[in-house]
Amino acid sequence: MTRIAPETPVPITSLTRLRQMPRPALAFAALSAALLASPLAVLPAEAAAPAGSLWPCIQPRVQTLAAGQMWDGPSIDNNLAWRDDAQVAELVPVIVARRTTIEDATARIETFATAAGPQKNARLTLLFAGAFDQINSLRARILTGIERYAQHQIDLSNRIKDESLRFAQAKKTATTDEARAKLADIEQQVVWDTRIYDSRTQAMSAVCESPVILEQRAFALARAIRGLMD
Amino acid sequence: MPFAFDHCRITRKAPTRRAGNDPKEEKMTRRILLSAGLAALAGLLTVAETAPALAQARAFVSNERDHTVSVVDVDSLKLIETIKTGRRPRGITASPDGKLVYVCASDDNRVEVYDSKTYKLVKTLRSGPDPELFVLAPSGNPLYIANEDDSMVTAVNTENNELVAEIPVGVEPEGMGVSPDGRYLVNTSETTNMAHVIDTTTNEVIENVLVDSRPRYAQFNHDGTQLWVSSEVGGTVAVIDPKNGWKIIKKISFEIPGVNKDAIQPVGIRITKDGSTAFIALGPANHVAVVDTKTLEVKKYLLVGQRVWQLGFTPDEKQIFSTNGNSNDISVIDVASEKVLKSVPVGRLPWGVVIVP
Repeated sequence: MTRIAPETPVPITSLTRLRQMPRPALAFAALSAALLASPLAVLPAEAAAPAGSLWPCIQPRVQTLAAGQMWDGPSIDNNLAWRDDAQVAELVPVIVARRTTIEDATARIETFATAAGPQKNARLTLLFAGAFDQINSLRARILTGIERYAQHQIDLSNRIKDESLRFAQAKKTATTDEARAKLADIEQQVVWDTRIYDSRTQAMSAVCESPVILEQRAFALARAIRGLMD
Repeated sequence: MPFAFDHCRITRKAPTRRAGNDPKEEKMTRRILLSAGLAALAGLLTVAETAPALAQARAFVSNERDHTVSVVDVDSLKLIETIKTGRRPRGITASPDGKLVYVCASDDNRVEVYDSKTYKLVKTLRSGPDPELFVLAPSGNPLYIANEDDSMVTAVNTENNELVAEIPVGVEPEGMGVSPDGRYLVNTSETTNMAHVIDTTTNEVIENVLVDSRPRYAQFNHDGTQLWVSSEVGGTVAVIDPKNGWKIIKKISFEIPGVNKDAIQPVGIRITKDGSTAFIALGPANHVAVVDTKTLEVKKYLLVGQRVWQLGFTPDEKQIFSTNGNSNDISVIDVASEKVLKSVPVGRLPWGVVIVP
C-alpha cells in the first residue's frame, strides 16, 4: 500500500483537475485554497518577512493601490464612512465581487446613480471610496497569500531535497524486504512532492496575475463611476 | 447573424460561408469582416451598404499578449479589424506615405510589414534578436532596430532587407529616436542609463548622454532643436540640446496628487509639429503629462488607462491616442482642449500605436 503522508495535501484527482483548469481559474482556485488554508497566518507572515523578500512574481510588489491612479474626481480621503450610506454599503460588495461581471456592475452603478438624487456626485464618490477600500484590502490579503504560497514552495523544495538524500542513503543499506518496502515509500513520497511542486510552480505566473486582475477591476469600476458624475 | 458586411473597410473573405447564401453577394464584391473582436459583439453586428469610400485615418495598435494588431477607425473610433501577427508585437511604425505598417514581432525575431489598406502581410525584414522598438529614417529607409539581448542597433534596408549596419551600443538598448534631417540616431540603453547618439553617416556613436535610470524612449522635436529622453525608473524626462554638445537643458519630474511617486514611470513621448506641446505617457501612473516645451513645465495630467505606454498623433494632430496595457484599451485625447474624449477596447496588453492617413 502506498503511504501518503498526512501533510501531502493534494490527492491525485484534484491534482489532475488542477492541471485541466484554465489558468485564471487555476490561479483563483490555488489562491483561494492558500488564503482559506490559514487565514490567521496573514498577520504573522506579513510581520515576519520584510516586504518583498518572499515576493516570487515578475510584477513589482506594490503594497497598496493609490486612488489617484484611477480617480480624478473629488478626494476620497474623507469618505471612509461609506458604510453609513445603506445603499452604498449594499452595492459595494456586489460590484467588488469577482463573480459580478464589469458589465453587470456598471449597470448596477447606473441604476444607483439614477436613484441617487441631488447628492449624486457625493454619493458616487462615496461608492468609489467603498469599492476602492474593499479592493485594496482584498488585494493586500492576496499579496500576503502569494508570499505564503512562495514560502510553501521553498519549504517543499527543502523537503524534496531531504527526502532525496534519505532515499539515496536508504538505497545503500536496503537488504531486507522491510527495508526495501520502506525505500519504495520514500521514493513514492519524493515523486509526490515533486509533482506537487511542479504543478504549483506552473500555477505561479497565473497566481501572480491576481493582484493585477484586482487592480483592473478597481480601475474599471472607477471609470464607470466617474463617467456618471456631472 | 454569423457575420457582418463592412461598408468601407475591405478586409478578407470569410473562409467558410453558410449554405443558402445568395451567390450574387459574391459578385457584389461585398467582403466579409470576420474579426474575433466583432464576433464577440454578436448581436450588435450590422449590415451596411457597399461603399468603397476614401480611406480614412486608421490607428494600428500592437497587442503584445494577443499577438495581434487592432485596427481602429479614427472617425468612428470603432475596431474594424484584428490582424494576426507574429509573436509578441511591440514596436510599431508606418512608412512616411502611410502605406506600410511595420511591426516588431519580438519573439519571432523579425519585423513584419503590412499593407495599411488590405492589412495583408507584405514582407518580413530581418531584425536581429529580440527587437522591441525601432525607428524609421525620415526618408523611409533604413529602419533602425534596437536589439535588447545583444546590445546592438541593427540598420536594415527596407527595400531589399539587406543589413546596412550593426552598431554596438549600451546594455539593453531600447528607445530609438532619429533627428528630423535623419543625421542623428539616438538609442537609449536601459541598463547603461545612457542615450547614445549615433551619426548615421558613419554609423558610429559620437556622444553618450548619461540620463536617469532605465531610459526608455527618445524623441526629437520637429525642428531638431530638442531631444527628449524618458527614464522609466528615474521617473524623469531629460530634455537635451543637440545643437549645444548634447547637454541636458532640464530634467522634468512629475507629481500627481494621490499617486505614489514610484508609479510615475515615463515611457512614450510625442511632441506636436508646431513644437509647442509634449505629451508623455507615465506608465502605471495611468496618466499622460502635457508639457509646455518652452517653459518645460507640466501643464496638466490626464487620467487615461492602466499602464499607459506609447502615444500616437492622428495625421491632423487634432487627437493623440495612448495605449493602455493593463486596461486593454486606447484613450483618445483631444490635443487642443487637452481632454480625454473616449477609451476604445482593443486586444490584450496594447503596446504601441501608429495612425496613418
